[in-house]
Amino acid sequence: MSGTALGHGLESLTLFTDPVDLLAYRRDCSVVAPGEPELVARPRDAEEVAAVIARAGRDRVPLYVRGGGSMYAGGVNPHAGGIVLDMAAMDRILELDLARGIVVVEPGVRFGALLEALAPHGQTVGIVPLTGPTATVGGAVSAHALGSGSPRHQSMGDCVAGLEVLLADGTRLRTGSAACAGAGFFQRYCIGPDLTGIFLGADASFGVVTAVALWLVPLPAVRDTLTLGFAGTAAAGDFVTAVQGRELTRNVWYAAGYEGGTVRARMTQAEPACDPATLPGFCVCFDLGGDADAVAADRARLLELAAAHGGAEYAPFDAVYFRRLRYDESYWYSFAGYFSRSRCAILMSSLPSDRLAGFIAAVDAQRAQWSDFMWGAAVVVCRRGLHGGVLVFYDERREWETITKAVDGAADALVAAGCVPYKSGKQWAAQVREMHAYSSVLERLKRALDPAGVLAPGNLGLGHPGSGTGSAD
Amino acid sequence: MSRALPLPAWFDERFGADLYHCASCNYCVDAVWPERGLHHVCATLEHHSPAPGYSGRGFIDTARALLEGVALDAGSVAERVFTCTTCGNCETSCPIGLRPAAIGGALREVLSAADVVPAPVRAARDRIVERGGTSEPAAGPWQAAAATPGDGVAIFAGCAARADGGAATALAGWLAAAGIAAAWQDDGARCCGAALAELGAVREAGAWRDGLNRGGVPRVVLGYECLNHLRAGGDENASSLLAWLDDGLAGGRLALALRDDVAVPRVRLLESCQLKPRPARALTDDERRARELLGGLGVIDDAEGYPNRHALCCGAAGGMPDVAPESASRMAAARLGGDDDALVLTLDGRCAAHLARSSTHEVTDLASFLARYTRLSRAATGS
Repeated sequence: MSGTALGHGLESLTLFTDPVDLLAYRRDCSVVAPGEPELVARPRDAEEVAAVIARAGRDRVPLYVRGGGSMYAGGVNPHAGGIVLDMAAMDRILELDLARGIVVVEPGVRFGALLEALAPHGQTVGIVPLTGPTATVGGAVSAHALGSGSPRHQSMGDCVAGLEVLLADGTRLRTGSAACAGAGFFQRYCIGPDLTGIFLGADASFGVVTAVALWLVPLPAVRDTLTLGFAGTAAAGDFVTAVQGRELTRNVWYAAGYEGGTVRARMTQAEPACDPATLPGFCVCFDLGGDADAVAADRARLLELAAAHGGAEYAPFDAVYFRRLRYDESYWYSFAGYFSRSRCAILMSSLPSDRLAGFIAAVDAQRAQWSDFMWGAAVVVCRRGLHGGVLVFYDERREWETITKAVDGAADALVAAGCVPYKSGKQWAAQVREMHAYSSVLERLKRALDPAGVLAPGNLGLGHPGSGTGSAD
Repeated sequence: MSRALPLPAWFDERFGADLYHCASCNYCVDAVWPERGLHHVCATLEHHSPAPGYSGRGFIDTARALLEGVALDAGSVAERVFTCTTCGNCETSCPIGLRPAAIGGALREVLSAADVVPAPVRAARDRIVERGGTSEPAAGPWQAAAATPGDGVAIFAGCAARADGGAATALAGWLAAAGIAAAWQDDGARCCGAALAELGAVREAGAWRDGLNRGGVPRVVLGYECLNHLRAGGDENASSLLAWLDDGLAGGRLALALRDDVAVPRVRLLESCQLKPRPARALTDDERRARELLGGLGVIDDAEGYPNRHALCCGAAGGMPDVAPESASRMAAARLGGDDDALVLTLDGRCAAHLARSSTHEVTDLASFLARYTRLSRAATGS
């Protein structure tokens, strides 16, 4: 069906059908295959979202939902065609309740705008993705964003008090305490099981999020960075495990670990005369925040714990990279631009901290197998466990065919190394389908909530041929 | 109807790396980064159409698609790339230094060469060619002045001075009161080609620029669009009023003070998108000069941060008043805001004229402001 025909009955909405405009909706930052949308609708409120969902359901047309488009798992790529819902115009802050400690926003609110609105009140939110200036709250909720705040929480979902979601049949669902008429959002776990969780990280497979309630968090009074160097990944992994076991992440707003190759690349570029043999084999970096006394005390405890694991402060990497990353460059694109090759493919997984060495070894094996690419590995420290990022720098013009194979191969290798798919989208669809019991329950949920299979087919491995869930063709 | 629009080889050579390095992060579409003074990215998306084809990313996507032989409707492409203010926010917000605005400019050039331009652009271009400038010729100080610069100043007012010769006239009086001879070059009001280049007629614009009688004389150029165009063509003698003034004050040759017979109102210095630090623009230091000069006079607070780095266009640039006048007016209203009754001061006369046309705010350009509220003199001890 043509985009123009799809738009009949939706003329009151902002619609895009011109192929020039549709180009921007074909993909996100990932190396997941682009899609070809026929129509883009840019709703201004939940009623307009409902109209588009109804249209998609009536004509059994695939419907994908897009926030900032800065994710890297392909969840917004409309690989089955159809309609893309661009949520960027739903960018209002609906409610700021300082007494309850809640902010309720439309999904298109960008984190930069949200933080700007909260700052005068001395508040922030628990998780801020590293793509904060352009990432939307709805996208972060739908794709398990991580970033600032991960050491104190884990990912975006841990900061959500409740959602408003439109289901495929038009049901308008409010989760958490807001399920009770008139109660509003203030707690997530109230009435039976956690329905909020079904929609977190689901990339719109089960419904379209139209409002998000986030818990507020006071801004830290002081911040400080600390970088610790270790001889190798095993010691660093043991150290991080010990940090988490002692709850030493309470005042850590961001923490990340960098393999020796990354440390070497940064240091030798900044200080060409430095001797690579003297550099740490792994660095763990902390961005601490809180009351001055607490930050100072935790800094001392981290140093003491590092020493017990053979580590020590390594200020040069902090000065050259980490402090700048946090206070100046701030966003991972600086990492991509650093290498000035073509694009950077990112594959995110989760892993327990004691498997850090295995994660790095798996990346090393991929590096050896696909030596035409430049590979990097880094981890984000969570309250428990790690998010492991694999970065592969490639030339999109010449290497598109091979990069997708390399990244798919890396995904298999990471699972074999005990890592878990993170930010599922479509990037991890094949691996999710291998988790038979889990995948089967997801499919049953999908059939119950979206029997026509119009919502984001392909995400989470649902809606693919032979999956048993509705196909949208 | 879709029509293949082949891109010339130079396009790939010049921009191929940008097209394939873009990470699709969408910072050039919309972003909010308060710490860096970034409050949304694209005036066209905000005030004309939110369709991403109008954005920096849209220009990159479009160019890449055309390079790969995708048949896109050339008229649609033209409609989008010519409805751009050319403010360059998409470039200053790109985390990895890509050049979507330059790509948009290059697409304008390709479309112009293929004679695929929106009707308002064609009309504006024809008017400029016919008149030798953006507006009808008018009398101005350049007609009376024939002095050689000597220890004075050579000035190129540009064709924008025709529409409202107030800035040039004020400047002439201000300089004359200080006993500084002003030599108005090239009739003072010829188009240097900047306005044509903005509309995609790059070859013609280059010819107009080359046809100006520079004579190797250092000169002050009043419009920043003109200045950027001249400097991009290698004219190292072109400078700004602020640079000339800064040089004279720093060298002790000039002295500047507020007039004591005129009350200076509260002033709001409006950032100018034409002064952003971009590769082809050499005089990005003028924002600092303005803040130091006006701050030193006590006229404005010396703001910190990145006041000019991500300035949104007021709607005056890129041909926007011709292509989409209503959108251009909305941009102006948005830049000025609602309630602030301060005198709005812009460094660029074109912005001042557009803002004044589009609102009831009192708006002035730098030359007019200096002439009205300050007294310039040769320093007694100046060398």
